[in-house]
Amino acid sequence: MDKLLEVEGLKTEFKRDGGNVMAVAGLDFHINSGEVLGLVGESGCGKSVTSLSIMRLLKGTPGRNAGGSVKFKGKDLLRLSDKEMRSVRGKDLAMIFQEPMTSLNPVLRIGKQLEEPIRLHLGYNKSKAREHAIHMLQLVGIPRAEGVMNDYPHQLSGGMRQRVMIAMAMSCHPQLLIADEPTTALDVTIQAQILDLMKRLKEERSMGMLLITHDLGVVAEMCDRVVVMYAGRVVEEAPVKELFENPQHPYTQGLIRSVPKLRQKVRRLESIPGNVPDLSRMPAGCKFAPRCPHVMPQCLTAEPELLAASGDSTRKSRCWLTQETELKGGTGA
Amino acid sequence: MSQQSTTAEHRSSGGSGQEAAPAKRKSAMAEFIRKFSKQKLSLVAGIFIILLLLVAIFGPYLTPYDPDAPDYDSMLSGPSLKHWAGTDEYGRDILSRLIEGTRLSLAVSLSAVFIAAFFGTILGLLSGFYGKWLDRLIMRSSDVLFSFPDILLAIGIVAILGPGLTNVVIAVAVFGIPSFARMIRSVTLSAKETLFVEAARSMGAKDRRIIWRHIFPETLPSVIVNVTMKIGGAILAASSLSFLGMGAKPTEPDWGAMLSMGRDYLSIAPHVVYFPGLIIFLTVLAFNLVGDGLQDALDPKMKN
Amino acid sequence: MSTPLIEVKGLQKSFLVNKGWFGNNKYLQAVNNISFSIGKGETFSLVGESGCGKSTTGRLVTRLLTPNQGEVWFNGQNITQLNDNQMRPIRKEMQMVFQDPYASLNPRMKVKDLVAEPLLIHTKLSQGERDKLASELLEVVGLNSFHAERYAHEFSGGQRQRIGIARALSVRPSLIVADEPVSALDVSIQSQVLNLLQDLQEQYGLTYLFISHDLSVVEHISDRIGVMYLGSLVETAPKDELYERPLHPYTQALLSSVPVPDPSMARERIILKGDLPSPVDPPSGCRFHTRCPACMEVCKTKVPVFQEVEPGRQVACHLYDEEVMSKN
Repeated sequence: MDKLLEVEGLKTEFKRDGGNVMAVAGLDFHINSGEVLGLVGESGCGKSVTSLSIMRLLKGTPGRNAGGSVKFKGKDLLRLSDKEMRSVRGKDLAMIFQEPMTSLNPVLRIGKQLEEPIRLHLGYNKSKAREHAIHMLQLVGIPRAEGVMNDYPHQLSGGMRQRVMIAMAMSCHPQLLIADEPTTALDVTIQAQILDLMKRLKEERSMGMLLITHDLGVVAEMCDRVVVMYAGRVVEEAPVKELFENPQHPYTQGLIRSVPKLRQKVRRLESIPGNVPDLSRMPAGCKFAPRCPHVMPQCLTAEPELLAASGDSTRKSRCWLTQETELKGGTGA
Repeated sequence: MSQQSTTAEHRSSGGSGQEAAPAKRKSAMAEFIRKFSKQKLSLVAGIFIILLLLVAIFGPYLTPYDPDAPDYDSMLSGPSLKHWAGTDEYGRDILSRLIEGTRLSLAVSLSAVFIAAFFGTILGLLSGFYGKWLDRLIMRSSDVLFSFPDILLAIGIVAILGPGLTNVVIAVAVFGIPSFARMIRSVTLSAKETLFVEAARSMGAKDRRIIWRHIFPETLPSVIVNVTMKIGGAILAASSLSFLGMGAKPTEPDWGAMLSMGRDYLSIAPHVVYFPGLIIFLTVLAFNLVGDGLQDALDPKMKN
Repeated sequence: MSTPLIEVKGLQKSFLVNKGWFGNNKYLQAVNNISFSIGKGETFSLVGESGCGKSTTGRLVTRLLTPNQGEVWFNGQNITQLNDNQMRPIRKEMQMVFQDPYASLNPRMKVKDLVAEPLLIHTKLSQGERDKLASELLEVVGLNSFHAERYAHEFSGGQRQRIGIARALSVRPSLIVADEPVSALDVSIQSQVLNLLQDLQEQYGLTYLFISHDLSVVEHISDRIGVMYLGSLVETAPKDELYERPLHPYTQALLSSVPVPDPSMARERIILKGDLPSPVDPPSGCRFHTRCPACMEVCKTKVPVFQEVEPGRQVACHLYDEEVMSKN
């Protein structure tokens, strides 16, 4: 399988009053073509910053790239000129956001907003672009597509807006779609519609997807592989089934156990004690150590690396626990 | 699991809160000072105002001459080493009169604005909080006041009450009330919708407590900014009234009155109006600049 | 059953959204003829999607809003028409916890004053006594007493929600109305707060009216559940029965829509068509008929009656109305 997107050592810094903080501190992951990779974590773990860094949309935020590479089909996006980047963004690489209202222009009709990138990236003339736009709206299940072309964003419901956003993102046949919490702002029955739509489109078009979410339910339904982030780092990477069946990192374990699940009858939920560390006051060593139930002396001083489990290159974990057993096994043999 | 152990678990889990407090949050005051001092122009204006206040307080000790003592040997003499700002038509030292006048002008404008702020804020709070007929009554009344040009209204009030500085204070205060009332009303309307006000209502808090404890503090930044902004206008208005002969008596060292008296000698001794005019201009400008700076510094939406 | 703590009968509330020029005012029907009761010590949850009227119902029960029609009974007393002064002693018995722990705590007050505010309102305790109680309450909800001198913004979301809970607890109410108390929190923090709520219920014998859109959370915390759609209550049932065998087609669709964090579970999913209709101009007949997979002719015209179909289970659906079904 060829790698569609390869992120290596990605670092993103944020300016703060008291100096700079690392919101993303050396991220490594890849997405194969046609694959859905889930990027999971709680608020403040750096997952949204990651997507903005990949799309080079940090301008206007206090953030800036501080190293690493983002190879999209072999080309390093971080080294492209602004002009080259614009021709990639919206065409091969598209993005949808949590709140579609922030990325739709409130004073332009839907039709105009859809046609513009189509004409720009696909070189269609006006009537052909319009035809294509209407086709896209129909594809995402908007009932009166031609009417919606003349509507303004505020005239549509939240679910409809998200469909328009998806239509817009899909209109130039992207090879990779980055979806940042695409259904978080929606009600569950509407979420079910949108997830269903995204799954269908992904299969029809065999495109890769980076799905950023905090919702483990959405991850389980949508993703092939999952990357779990904590405090700006990847702490675990695994195929979706393995991750839920046998999570290796204590953070992943805690996360999965603390979610209440339908038809699971427990008196008490398990929970992860404490809070996510503040970026400017990161603990030394493993960043999860202060909340970890299995913490050992070495966790407080040295940070483990993200290493593959023995014999299974698809699974990686950043934890002394798994790595130490390996070490022990190694010396014992 | 027994009850005791579960509660203990909560304690340990929530108790790790020491590290959770965001480090960058210092005290609100430090944050305010940091933001305000970033606005260089407002900072300079602020220093100017502080100097002005010091002059107002220590005026009598700073005047080089008795501001009321005539010197018929040097009438209308221009600025010199002896009289830095020259002398007026009775030979009185203009610098001394300006220094003495600082106290008068600031006292008049500050008291007028504070009175306006006091009544305007109360009316605005009541109007915004209770709404309905009370709101309509207060807002329509202020519309009526608004429909007069400011200075005309003040002239009218002074004409009824008679000239004098006390009446100038009243006049300037009255036409300042509606703008305070309006602004505080709009802040009250949005504060009334906040969740913590609803929470207070759900607890059973009385209206008076909700207004003073929860809504009034929300309006305070706007009150402070508006007070500063209005002082400039009040100085102008008070000076204008004095200029028109409706405020300070010509013998009093009021800036406006000095301007008015100097008018007759404009062609032969321009310095007689130049210096009072300049000080009025600078003071009004300084208060407005500080007002702008405060607005930006107190606005939570303005980061950095 | 003894007298329920809360009994709501035929509650209705609409809001004026658009004042027309010629008296053709437009009203948003937020809550439409709903009835339920909550027993002492019970957790009753209202669940539904945005705009279904669940939050409005919570505010009607606590009388932050006054219903246009219907009655609210608290502990055997009709409180529907009480004024502010008459309500005050009752408010001591019913406290609220809000969704947004950032907005529901006054940023200009210290934590000890926030927590003790209900005490100040309802008791004659001195400042010193209130401070002491506030410190104790902070310990009860899992914070430290030294947090009392700080301001709310110095705390994380989960800790703030603990402060909000401590505040609600301060006057020892019998009912706590919790409006989406965990939906603004991260999952790992969410479970901490849910556990805390359950512990406090045991410790103090609290009754909860729990309002949420999250079906997994609701299942975890509730004894009984009411499902709302577009201002109406469509089904109430004990928790296990509702999740094992939902009766109303909307409940069925809602339950099947929830993404399950288990990739090995294959499910038949009911995906509803279309969007939520506007509550300003709700559909005729059964309000769900425009999206219902089991819609019949009668549903378009006749409003289904909310009635008991099995012991302890009420549904508003023609499918379970013998009279309607026998005619078809």
